[in-house]
Amino acid sequence: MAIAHKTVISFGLVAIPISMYTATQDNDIHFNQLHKDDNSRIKYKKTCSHCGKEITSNDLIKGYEYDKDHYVVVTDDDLEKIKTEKEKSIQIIHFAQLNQISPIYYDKTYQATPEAGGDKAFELLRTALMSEQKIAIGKTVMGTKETLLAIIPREDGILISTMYYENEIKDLAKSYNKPELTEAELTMANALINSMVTPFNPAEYKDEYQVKLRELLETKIAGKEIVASKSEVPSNVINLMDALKASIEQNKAKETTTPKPKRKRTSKGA
Amino acid sequence: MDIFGSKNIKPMLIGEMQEAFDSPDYIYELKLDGLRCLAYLDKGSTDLRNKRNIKMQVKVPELSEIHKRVKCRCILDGELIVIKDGKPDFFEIQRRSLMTNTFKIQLASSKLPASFTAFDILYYDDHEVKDLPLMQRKKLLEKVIKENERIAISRYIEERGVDFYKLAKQNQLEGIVAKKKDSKYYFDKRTKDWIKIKNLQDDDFVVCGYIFKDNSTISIVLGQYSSKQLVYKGHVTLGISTADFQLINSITRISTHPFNDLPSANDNAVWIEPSLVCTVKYMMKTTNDSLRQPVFKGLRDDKTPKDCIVE
Repeated sequence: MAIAHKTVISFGLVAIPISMYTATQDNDIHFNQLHKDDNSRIKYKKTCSHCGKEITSNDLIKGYEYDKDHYVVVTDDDLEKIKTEKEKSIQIIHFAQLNQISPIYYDKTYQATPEAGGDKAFELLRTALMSEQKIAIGKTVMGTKETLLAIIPREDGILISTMYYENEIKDLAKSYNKPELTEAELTMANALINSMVTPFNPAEYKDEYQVKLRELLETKIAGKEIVASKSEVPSNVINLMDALKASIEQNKAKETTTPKPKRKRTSKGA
Repeated sequence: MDIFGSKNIKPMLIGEMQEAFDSPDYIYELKLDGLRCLAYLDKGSTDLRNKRNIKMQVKVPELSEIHKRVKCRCILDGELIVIKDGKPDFFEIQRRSLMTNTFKIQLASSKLPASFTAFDILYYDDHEVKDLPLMQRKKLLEKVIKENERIAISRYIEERGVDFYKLAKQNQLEGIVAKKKDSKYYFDKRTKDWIKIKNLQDDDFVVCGYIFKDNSTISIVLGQYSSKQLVYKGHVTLGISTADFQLINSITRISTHPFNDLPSANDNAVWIEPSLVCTVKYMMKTTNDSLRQPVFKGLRDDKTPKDCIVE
């Protein structure tokens, strides 16, 4: 289900009510673990490592392991006290060039659409960003975390991407040499690149393994269904509706032949 | 831009509930247990929108060609349904509407394909037709649609509401709708010209939290809005192995309950952000306004929590 996250973009004195929807989805095939003897699902039970008792969610508290096997307990109240004030809005801090930001900073992308009363301001922001070729950098609170955001205009709508903070980005794991290049080598490499330039067409690419996996599963499922049931006739709502209508009309026909005359008009309808 | 271009109209809603009755001024049709949708159909495309104007096409790829079954550009109002064991099955269409994985959708659409049953037409060729009386819109509907397995025209009968309701009940269908023959169509309006006649009642509630019980079930704590305040409305049971619970479980938890008044039986509840809506069926309301024999029917995303209002 598309759960919208409702918020407001605040930009100077203007507040633009918007809904944010996740922009991507997982279409991969996931497997369940089954017991090989009877094909039943595996259930997980939580047990305590100390007393071995089975634990329900009511028995759980939170702890932080600050040293091996040493924990400090943190209560919901503790966390509640330090929660960031729930900001209901996305505050635009400044604007920047789109190509100035390295893709490494982008995390999760959402699509934004205007909510009631926000259409005009939303379209104004989008068009202005588009014509200036700029994006907006903003901040908001999602859950309990203060999050950095990029607001990116598109031909249709606005993208909002959550961003990593600088301290979340890792340094290059190890350094490497950058040998000197000759002019001729570079010219050759440039020429090769330019000879292979075509526009990026995302529809051309798909996960070939997933396609084969789907085919495999479809074959297996189809095989199962022949065994399970083939008796059911494909039923149609038209048949159902016609049958009911006919049986009402039949009743009426009977009634008109009985000596008790009633004022009834003929029904036509579909 | 006209309404076909802007595609942001909201359907008319049923505004009355009554016992079955006979009247020459009304037609009666089945209330099909599915998802209400508007279909924007023209030469090249099918665009289905639910009550919240969310595009439904990705959920029902088997309906991507229904525009080829209409004679001209039109906006149809109807019900998106899945037929199982000869009857519309709300659970199946609701399950489908919650799917996102394209492979699961593909499997479901070949096993239990959805269909669209149109009961009204709001736009014909190049103009709105909502001001025509209902019976003329019905005629137009029959002219426009060529039925097949995926698109049907809702059948109706005249005058004999009582018998029709009895028959619907015998066949364990949700109920029937009576519609006034000369009524016009108003966008986004609850109309008294449309009357539902139903066996079980149902109502929509905000999912406010849940309580773990033994034997793998939870009690959902239900709420409804009275002006801007959530009011406690009791419990309904749900199994934790269901997809609906997974979704409920994924919602951000909050530390305190959202009500002014809360009975003490809710001390162990987990509270979540009031962002989900569920439908609950029940026999009747008891005198202190709680639900009798409530049964969880499903989550729905075509209604916002704020629209779940105490009646």
